[in-house]
Amino acid sequence: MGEAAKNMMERLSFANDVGAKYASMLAFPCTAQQMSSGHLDTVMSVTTRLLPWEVTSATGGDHHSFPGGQKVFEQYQNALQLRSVHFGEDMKAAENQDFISQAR
Amino acid sequence: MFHPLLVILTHSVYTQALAPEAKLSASSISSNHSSHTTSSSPAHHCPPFPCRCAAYEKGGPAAEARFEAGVAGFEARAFRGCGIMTSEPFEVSDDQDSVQMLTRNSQIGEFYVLQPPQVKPDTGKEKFTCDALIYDEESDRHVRVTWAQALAACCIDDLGDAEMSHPTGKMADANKKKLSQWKEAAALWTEYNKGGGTNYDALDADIRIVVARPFIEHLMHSVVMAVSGRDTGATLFGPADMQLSANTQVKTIEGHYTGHFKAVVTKPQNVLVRANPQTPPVCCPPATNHHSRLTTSLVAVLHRSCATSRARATWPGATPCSLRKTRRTPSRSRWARRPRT
Repeated sequence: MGEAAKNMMERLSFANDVGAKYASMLAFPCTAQQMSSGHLDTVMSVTTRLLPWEVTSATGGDHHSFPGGQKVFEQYQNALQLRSVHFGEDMKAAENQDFISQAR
Repeated sequence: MFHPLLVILTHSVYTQALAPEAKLSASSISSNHSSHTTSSSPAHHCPPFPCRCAAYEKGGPAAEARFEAGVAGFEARAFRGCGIMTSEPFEVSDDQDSVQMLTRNSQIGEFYVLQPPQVKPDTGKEKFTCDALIYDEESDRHVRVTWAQALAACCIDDLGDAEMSHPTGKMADANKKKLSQWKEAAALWTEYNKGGGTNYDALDADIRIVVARPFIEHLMHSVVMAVSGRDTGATLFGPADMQLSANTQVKTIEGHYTGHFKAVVTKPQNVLVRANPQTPPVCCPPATNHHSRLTTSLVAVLHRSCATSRARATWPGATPCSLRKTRRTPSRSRWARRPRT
C-alpha cells in the first residue's frame, strides 16, 4: 500500500517528468449488491469530493458511490492519500459565479 | 430562446470581416485576440475557413462578395439552421505550438468491474473465468488482468477491518460484513480461477472487484453557443497604430501594427459554453463509452477508450510483471496522443 501511495504522489506531481510512465490503475472491493443499489452504477468518486446527488441525499454526505461505502473510503483515503487528488473544480470561479471559466 | 448562431472564437471572425488586406492578397487573415496585441507583420494568421477562401486570387469575385458580407458571409448555415463558425489553431509564434482556444485536455476516469462467472462453468473449464482483458495503450493491445492481480491490488491487508456498506447476501446472512471477510470470499475465487478444486456452489458469486483508471486524459473540444446580435455583446476597438521603418542595413522595410481589441459580452444569459462535447475527429474511435460499467466474465473485453488517452495496465502497488513490459508501436502515430497516464 505504501508503494501505491508513493506511485500516486509521483503521478499527481509528475515527479518523473510529464511524459514518463506512471502506474495508473486502482482496485477496490465491491459487491453485486452495491452495483445494483443505484449508488455505484455509472459514476464513482475516488477523491474527497462527493457526487452532487450524494451531497443532497437525505442520509447525509457519505461516499455511497465508493466501492464498499463510506467506511471503506475512509480506509483508502488514509492509505492512498486520496485527499491529494485534485477534483478539477475552480473554486474561485465557483465563488465568483464566473459563467465561462466555471463551465467545464 | 436561442437564435441560430453557433459562435466559435468570435474575435477571429470579426477580424476577418474587418481586415482590409485579406480581400486583396492574403489567403489567411491576421488575427489578434487579446485586449492589447502588438504584432509584426506577418505574425499571426488564423484562417477560420480554409476551404472557403476569402482571397481574391483564390476565390475569385465570390470570395470578395463573401468578404463584403461581413460575418454572415463566413457562416455556414448548414447545421439545422444554425450558423456555425469553426476555429483553427491560433499560431502564437514559430517557436511555440499552436493554441486551439477551445480545446483542452480533460481527465475522464473510467472504471471496470471484475465479476466471477454467474453460471457454473463446465467441469475442467474453470480456469481464467474471473479474468478480464483491458486495453493497454502502451503496448497497443488488450492485456489480461487476472482476478488474483486485482485482488492483490486491493491491498486489503493494509487497511483497517472496516464494515462494507453493501455486503453480499451470504456475508449478511453470516453477519460477516467486514473487509477481511470479503477478502476470504474473494480469495476462494482466486483458487477457482486457477482451476482449483473449489466447489462452485460454495462460492459467493456476488463478489466484485472494481478496477479504476482515474487518470485517463482526453483531448476535448468545447463549443460556445450565443444569441446573435448586439444584445449579446460586441468587439470593442481601441486606438490603432501602424508604423513603417526602413532598415538600410538589411535593405528591408518593416511594418509594425499595434491594435487594441476586446471582445465583451454584455448579456451573459445569451451565451452558453458547452464544454467537452467532442474529441477531435481523428482521435475518436467509435463506441467510446466513458464512465461506463462493464461487467465481465471469461474473456470480457473492456472497451477501447478514446485514443488520446494513455492508460496503462499497471498497478500502483504491484510488483513488475509482464503487464509492465510495454513497447511502442508505429500505430501510436495514428492518433495525436498526449503523454499522460
